[in-house]
Amino acid sequence: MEIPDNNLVLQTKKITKNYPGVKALDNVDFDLYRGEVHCLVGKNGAGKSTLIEILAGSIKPDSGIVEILGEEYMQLNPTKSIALGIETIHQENFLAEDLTVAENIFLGNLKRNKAGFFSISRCIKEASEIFASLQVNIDPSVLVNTLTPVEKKVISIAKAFSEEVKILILDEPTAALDEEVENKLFKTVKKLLAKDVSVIYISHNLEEIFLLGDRVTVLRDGRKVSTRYVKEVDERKLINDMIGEEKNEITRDKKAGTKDGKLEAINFSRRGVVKDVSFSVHRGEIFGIGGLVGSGRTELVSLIFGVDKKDNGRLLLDGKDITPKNPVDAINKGIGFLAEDRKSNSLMLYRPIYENISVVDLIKRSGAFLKLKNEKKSVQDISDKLNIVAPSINQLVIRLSGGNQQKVVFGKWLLANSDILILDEPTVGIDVGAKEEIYFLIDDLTKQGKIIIMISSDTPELAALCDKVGIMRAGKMVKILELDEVTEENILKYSIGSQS
Amino acid sequence: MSNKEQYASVANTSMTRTSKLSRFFNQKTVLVLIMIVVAIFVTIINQNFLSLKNLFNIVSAVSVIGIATIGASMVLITGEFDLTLGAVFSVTAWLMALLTPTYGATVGISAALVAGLVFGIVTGLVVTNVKANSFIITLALGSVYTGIGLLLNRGAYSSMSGFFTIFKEKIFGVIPYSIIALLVVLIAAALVFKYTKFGRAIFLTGSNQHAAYLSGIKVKFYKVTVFAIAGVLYGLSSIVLVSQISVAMNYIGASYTLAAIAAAVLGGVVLGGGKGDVLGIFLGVLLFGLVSNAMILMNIKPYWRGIVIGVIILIALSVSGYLESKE
Amino acid sequence: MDNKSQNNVAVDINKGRSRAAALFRKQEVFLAIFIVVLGAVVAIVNPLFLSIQNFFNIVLAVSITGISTIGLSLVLISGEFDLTLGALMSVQAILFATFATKIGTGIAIVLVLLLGIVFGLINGLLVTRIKAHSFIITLALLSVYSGIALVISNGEWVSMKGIFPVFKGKLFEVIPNPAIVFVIVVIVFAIVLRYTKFGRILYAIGGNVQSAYLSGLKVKNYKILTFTLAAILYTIAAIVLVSMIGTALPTSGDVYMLEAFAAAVVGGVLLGGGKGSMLGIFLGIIVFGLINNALVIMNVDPFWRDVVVGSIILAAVAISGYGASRK
Repeated sequence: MEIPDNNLVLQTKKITKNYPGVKALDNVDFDLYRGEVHCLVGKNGAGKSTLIEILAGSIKPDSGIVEILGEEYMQLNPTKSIALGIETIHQENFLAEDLTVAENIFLGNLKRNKAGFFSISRCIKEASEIFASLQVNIDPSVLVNTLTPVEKKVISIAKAFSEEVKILILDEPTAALDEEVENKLFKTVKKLLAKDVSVIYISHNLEEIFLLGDRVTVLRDGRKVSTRYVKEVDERKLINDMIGEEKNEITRDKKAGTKDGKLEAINFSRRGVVKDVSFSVHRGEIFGIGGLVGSGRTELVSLIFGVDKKDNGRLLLDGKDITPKNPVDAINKGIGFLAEDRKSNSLMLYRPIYENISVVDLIKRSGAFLKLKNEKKSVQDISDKLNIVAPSINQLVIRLSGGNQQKVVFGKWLLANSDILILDEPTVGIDVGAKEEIYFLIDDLTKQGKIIIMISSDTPELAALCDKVGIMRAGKMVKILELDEVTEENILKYSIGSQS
Repeated sequence: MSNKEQYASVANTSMTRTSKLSRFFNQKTVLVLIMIVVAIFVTIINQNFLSLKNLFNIVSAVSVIGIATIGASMVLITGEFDLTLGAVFSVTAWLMALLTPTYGATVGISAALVAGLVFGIVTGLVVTNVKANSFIITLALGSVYTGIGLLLNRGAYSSMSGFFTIFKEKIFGVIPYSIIALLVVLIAAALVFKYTKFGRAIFLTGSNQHAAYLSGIKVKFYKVTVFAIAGVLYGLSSIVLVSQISVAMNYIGASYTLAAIAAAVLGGVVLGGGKGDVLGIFLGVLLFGLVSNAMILMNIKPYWRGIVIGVIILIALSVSGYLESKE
Repeated sequence: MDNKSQNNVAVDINKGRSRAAALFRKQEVFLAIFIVVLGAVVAIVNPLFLSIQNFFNIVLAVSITGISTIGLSLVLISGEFDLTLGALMSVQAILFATFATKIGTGIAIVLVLLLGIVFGLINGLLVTRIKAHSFIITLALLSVYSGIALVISNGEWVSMKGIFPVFKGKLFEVIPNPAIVFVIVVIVFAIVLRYTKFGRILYAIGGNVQSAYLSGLKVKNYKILTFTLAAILYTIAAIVLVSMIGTALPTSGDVYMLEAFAAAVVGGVLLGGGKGSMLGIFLGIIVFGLINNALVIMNVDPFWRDVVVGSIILAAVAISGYGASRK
């Protein structure tokens, strides 16, 4: 297929997609030129993912035209899209866990040997070549289920390069990655641009937009708000387009040890995973846990909450031993856990909002019978307080945007009156507006005297919010930064850093 | 406009268009429509279908499988399979046949219920502690229970005539006791599902077991309890059947279990867990009973009946699947 | 660089990065050991177990179940259920016997295989088009196929009158022909599963269907193909069965279904899809063949059969589940 003279590689005209109760896309026009990086930004629910799913072929639009390389397409499917040279890196890794890396890379086009039989060695060989050019250091012959989450993301990315790509679509590619891998990714994208590949890049991270993008389009509530050249726009303008109103920056007023009461974690260990971690948090404080992905952060809090079995570890509140034996025990002792990957771990997607929010509180109460009216009222109060956007609290959680889903999870622990809250990546996959709301919420909780432990891969977030930050590396908490020491540079330094 | 108002206005515009039609044509309506169509067909050929007596016959027959299906459905809602239904059903019947002649009806009935409970608890404990799919575990357990039962009754069938025929009789001479039993179980189940902590817990567990666990739900406890309740219900349904036909039959087997699961699924119970309601289950079971009865009244040859039922199930599934995708 | 030490933690967690999952090996080793031990025990109790005649008995019985089990395993690996196994075998048995006696065996085989393709296509099309779980869809189809078998045979058996002795015979006077067919099927599909693109894609679809779809694979077509292959294999098994026994009943095939599921699961096929090796399946089939034979040879009270078989399935599944992930 030839690129038309005007260098227009892809165009959508008046694309519309409706779902029950929601207009996901409303007459969206979008275009992409050869060799450019066109960024797509917007709040959760703005329609970004919907648009690219239409381009990738996994969804069909209700109306509108998609034009690729000059030809019109009414009905795309993944096979056609890929054949046209569109490769999509989705937010979720869609990998077959029990197959090898090489097989996953070439899943749509498994390599054969001369006899016509499937040849795993050819797949491995060609995968190695792709990895070499991307500077990836993973053995293509291992099974995917042995990889870490970061490595899986890298594989998902590498997969896009298994075919000749003309249009590369990236949906939040850096959400789960650390600095090193991110940089490699950017290098690769730049190499591709040199080869006239066109890129559509979706990200909540505005820094990346300014780093990579040529143009940026803002979507809001399914409509296109603006398309501008990156050099002609600044962060505030973009945020305003995304949210529609002026919002102020958040700063947190940190005062160490505002209230009496101290939580101590002592010698948490689990062979091969977490080594002898101890730290303390005062009431009203936020204790951040930083470190690269794979350093043991989630594993640590899973031990604390009683989800995984530990070899060692005690939890003391004001000297009293409250070490949880299991989640039920932890909850009874006032501990709450906002887990990573809310869809798998924190939400019953096909149940209504009110059931999701009331669950912990409900189970804690004695008494066999539900009091639906009271329950719904309490839930409504929380929902209003958190500003959860939905037609009603009877709405199924799966229909909510990421930010609202996370608010539901917060609501659950608020209603349960948790004293100690463990947050694991609380703002991942959430748009700027909702993020700020959550920051205010967390700050508010500390003012109520609650104890917060927070894991985050977002260094600026960690630095801005936390009183103290414990940095994990290879299962150990190598350093605890306090007050003035809590800066982005320090966090990064100890996360990556040399022996100390 | 605040976020909420924005959302509401968007929601209102596109919702009014589709809502009325799709709300009406849901799974349950499909079932009811099919039953009406079948009913019309039968009545044309055989007026007796609509007689009160016949309608009661249908519901009496339905009561047996209905009670058992409620049990199986509870297990399905928590996200597990229970293929021990047929086995427990048969074994409790043989147990009654064994004990009643010598020790009387009360002992017989109690034994059936206790046996059901015990089987249920055992099944629950094995399923929650062995890391394998409950499909194969309950399949194997069903074999074991059947084997135990066969050792008891040596393959014979026993007459239970005269012992307890209460479920053949009618209250005030009009409504069969078996229907009352069914109603009691249905209403109890509906109340439990909607108004108790237990009911809420099993739906949440079925919806996302891990999230439920992390939210403080004692998953193992609820699962074992659900299996136990199901076991008791299987025993109860066996009691109703035995008293209706006065015979403890030879071997019911896997087809009974599969029929119950089919009725549950038709009624809206999702095999993955987390969804289902009593009205739907009742309609699913009723559909089976009604079609079976219709086929007898229409003199459809026995060998054709399986084909008819299979086709009707496929039609019901296609239509409701189609409607769902329009959503 | 610290990338490495970061990896060390990951490596500890994942315990080795070998290509073949350590788990696989465990299941097959366990099965092999079990077979040897069982064989030894039976041989001690009754030396006749080791006789040539008995060996061939086992081989014959195993061949029929085995061919069907392999067909079922294909469907299971792709992530679906197929409950039509038994009913399809019955239908095909009846049809084969009927055609053979009326038209001649050669044409009968061709016709029945063609019909097998048709049935498989129907299964596959319905499962991929109707938005419902394959469990219930194939369950409904089971009902339909059983009915067809009953209608065509009119409930009676069909005799082959010794028309097709080929499968009764032995190659080189020693190896029974059914065994040859079975071995061919095993080898062919072992190659397909491990060395062909189709095989890899089956595992991919069963493992993560979204991933397969988004990679551009036409998932629906592969599923239809899988169901069709399975149906062909059930047909072959039915042909062998009828040729060996000489008669066909409308229920001839029913008993094979549960055993096929058991053999596949014990052999390591995960009911969720995406896992299972031909070696494991083969061993699973042998295990059941041995057990059945052992029960007869050791003169075990037939009423103990179900308990024994059920317990063994539970044990096998519990042991392999230990340390593995659920479902």
